[in-house]
Amino acid sequence: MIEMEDCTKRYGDLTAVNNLTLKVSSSEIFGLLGPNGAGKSTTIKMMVGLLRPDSGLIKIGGKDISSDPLSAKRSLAYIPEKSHIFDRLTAWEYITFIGGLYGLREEAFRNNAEEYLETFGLFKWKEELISSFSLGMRQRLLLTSSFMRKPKVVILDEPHNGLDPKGIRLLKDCMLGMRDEGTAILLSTHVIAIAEELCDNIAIINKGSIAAQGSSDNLKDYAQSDDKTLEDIFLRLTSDYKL
Amino acid sequence: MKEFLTLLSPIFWTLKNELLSSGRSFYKKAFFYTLSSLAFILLVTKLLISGMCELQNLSPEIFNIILIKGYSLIFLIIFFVQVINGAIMSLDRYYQSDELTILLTSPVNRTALFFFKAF
Repeated sequence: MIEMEDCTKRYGDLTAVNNLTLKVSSSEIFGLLGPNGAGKSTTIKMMVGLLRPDSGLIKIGGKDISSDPLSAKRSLAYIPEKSHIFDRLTAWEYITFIGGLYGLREEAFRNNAEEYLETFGLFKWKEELISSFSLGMRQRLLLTSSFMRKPKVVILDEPHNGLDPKGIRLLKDCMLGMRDEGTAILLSTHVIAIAEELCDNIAIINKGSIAAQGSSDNLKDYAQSDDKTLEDIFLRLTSDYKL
Repeated sequence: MKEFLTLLSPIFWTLKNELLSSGRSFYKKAFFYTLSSLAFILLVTKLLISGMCELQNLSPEIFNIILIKGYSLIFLIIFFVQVINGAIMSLDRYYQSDELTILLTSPVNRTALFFFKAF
């Protein structure tokens, strides 16, 4: 579903992403872990078509994001780290707008939108202006507008920011439910416990390259050490931190 | 066309919401701006008319030349200033827009997005 082959992105002399190869299959939650400045956000921005890689190939749902961006983006839902949405619209107007952008049919769109608004506890706020929403409510609205489209590929960049424990739990349940329905999910997070709990595969990225990749258990084998937790492995692979 | 109309819908909804949620101060401001604009248009028209009256005192040939050439020049300048201004405003709104991330990752033609930002 997501294929990234030998992608490189440079900013002047700095190589943010270096020959990165990733593959996320359907019915898989893939975790992307890494310290600040490791290249996670650049990787994600290339995947969603916000940045063009200097070299390499990216396919979303089998479509090349560079040569056929509209088809690739149609199957994609992206939750950015910082969400700016139209402040002067009501929640329902925003959702209707997103439905229109993706050409959703009226009936299916309405049912799905109402279902997810209810799930994320926003149904009673749907006629309120987004400007009156808290950070967490905005994040829930963004998740609603993405999930209601039943996308084949979901890319989430730090989606837990601003969410309360109930919101985090709802998000986790939605992600697991979507994975079971065949969606490929790429999750970038700093919360190692969430990655360990949810992800079928995890890649630890450092200095623009993959330091290690595999399931949580595989990573522990890979580290071949006394590291007991994913956090220990993460710190061992990405820093000079002495454990 | 449908895509463009979809892109325009937030503008109409925003306008509607602004009107519905605004208090008395908004209407006072709108009234003041409308009045100021009308006064400005009246002043400019009066100046142009008085200028033309002055020109009529010159010979008819000179008056015609100045009227045709001068007015054409003024309108051409205004037209090009508007075009350039529109292009710069569009680029500014396109690249400074907060919601650009959401729009650029949706299946929308970038040209349509640029023209949407012109409004």
